[in-house]
Amino acid sequence: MKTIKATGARLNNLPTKLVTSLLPVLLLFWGSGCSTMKVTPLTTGSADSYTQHEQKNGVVVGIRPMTDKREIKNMFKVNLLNNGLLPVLVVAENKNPAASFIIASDKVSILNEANGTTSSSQRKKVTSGTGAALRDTGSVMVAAGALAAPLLVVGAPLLFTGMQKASNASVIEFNLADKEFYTWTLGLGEKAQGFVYFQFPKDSRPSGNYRVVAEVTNPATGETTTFDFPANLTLPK
Amino acid sequence: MNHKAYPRLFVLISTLASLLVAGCASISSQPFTAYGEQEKMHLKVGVNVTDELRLSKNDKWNIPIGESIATNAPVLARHLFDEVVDMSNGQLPANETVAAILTPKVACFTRTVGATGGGESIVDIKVEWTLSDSNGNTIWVSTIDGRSSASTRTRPKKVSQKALEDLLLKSQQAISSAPAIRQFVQKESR
Repeated sequence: MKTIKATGARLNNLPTKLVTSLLPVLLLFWGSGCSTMKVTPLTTGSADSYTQHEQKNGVVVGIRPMTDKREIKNMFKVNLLNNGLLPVLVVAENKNPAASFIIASDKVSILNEANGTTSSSQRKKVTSGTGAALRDTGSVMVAAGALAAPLLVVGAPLLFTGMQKASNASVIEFNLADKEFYTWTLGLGEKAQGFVYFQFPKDSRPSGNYRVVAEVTNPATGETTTFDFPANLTLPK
Repeated sequence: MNHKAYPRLFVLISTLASLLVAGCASISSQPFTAYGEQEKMHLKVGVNVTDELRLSKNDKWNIPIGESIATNAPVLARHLFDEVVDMSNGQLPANETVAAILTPKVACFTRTVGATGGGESIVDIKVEWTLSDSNGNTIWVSTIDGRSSASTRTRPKKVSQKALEDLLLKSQQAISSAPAIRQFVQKESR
């Protein structure tokens, strides 16, 4: 017996088909929206709470090279060591009741004792190598996804994965820039904090003795005080 | 409903999705003026707007943040100091002298985008303000941070404008309360 379907029946199924086909897309859409990577806040202790700290003329400077992969990934959402970058936390605090002090970002540097070379923070070189690569991949996927969107099954995952990657890249770049050590004038009780990014060749991780050097200037007198910390930057394999 | 509408629907969806992550970008050309009332410091200051500042922008979104800071810096300075002279690339107008020079520089201008239009987008602007005496010695220098966040579908112009206003209000607070600047003003007024 031949079943005869009324033409109207196909039309009645259309909303159901539409919902069924769009549901996974909507789930992907909202799912990736909820999973936008978060920017981690940087919280630090007082400068003298760090194992490596010095106090001179009422200014305290503390440093901590961050060498633990897991800790770096929690903070920056990417393993910076794999990208040839070692973050060193610098915290400076003014406890001098009579004077202000300037600690400039370009006056915080890392000295390699073995060859005598000095390097300052290198965040810009790194963003072009890590976050940018992820962002470029994301952009390509977004473009491919948008073009393939009419083929919903292929296009939607490409589009959303691409958007997710581009979003992650933007958060990684933001995190690096936001947490960098910038220039400050510290009045009484004021504190400055941030990371200096020490760049090393990817295939040759730093090992041995380095020195983290910070120069602090009293703008009223022009007098400069140097803080010099020995740092063994041997990284885990 | 015609079945030919299916492809059109998908094109529409993909276009809308693309629009959710895109956006036109510009920022108000009018200077921000809603600063809190405060007593001005008795100092004649030159506001040094450099070409480097004017050209500062984020290439990704083409927001001319340097131009906005260049427009706003003299207005902010006039809320802080009782005499302000406009300078360009370190040059004073003829027959003018100042006790100090205020120079802004964009240290960082960055933005996150959400994975979708509903995800959070944060705009962050960091400006390094340097106040130096007439001999070029630095009196005070600090990097002030302005920030705003909204959903990614919000126009970048709107979020950047809010971050800029946050930056300018914090800059006003930081400059007016800096002990190093207060001491310099006292020394100059003697």
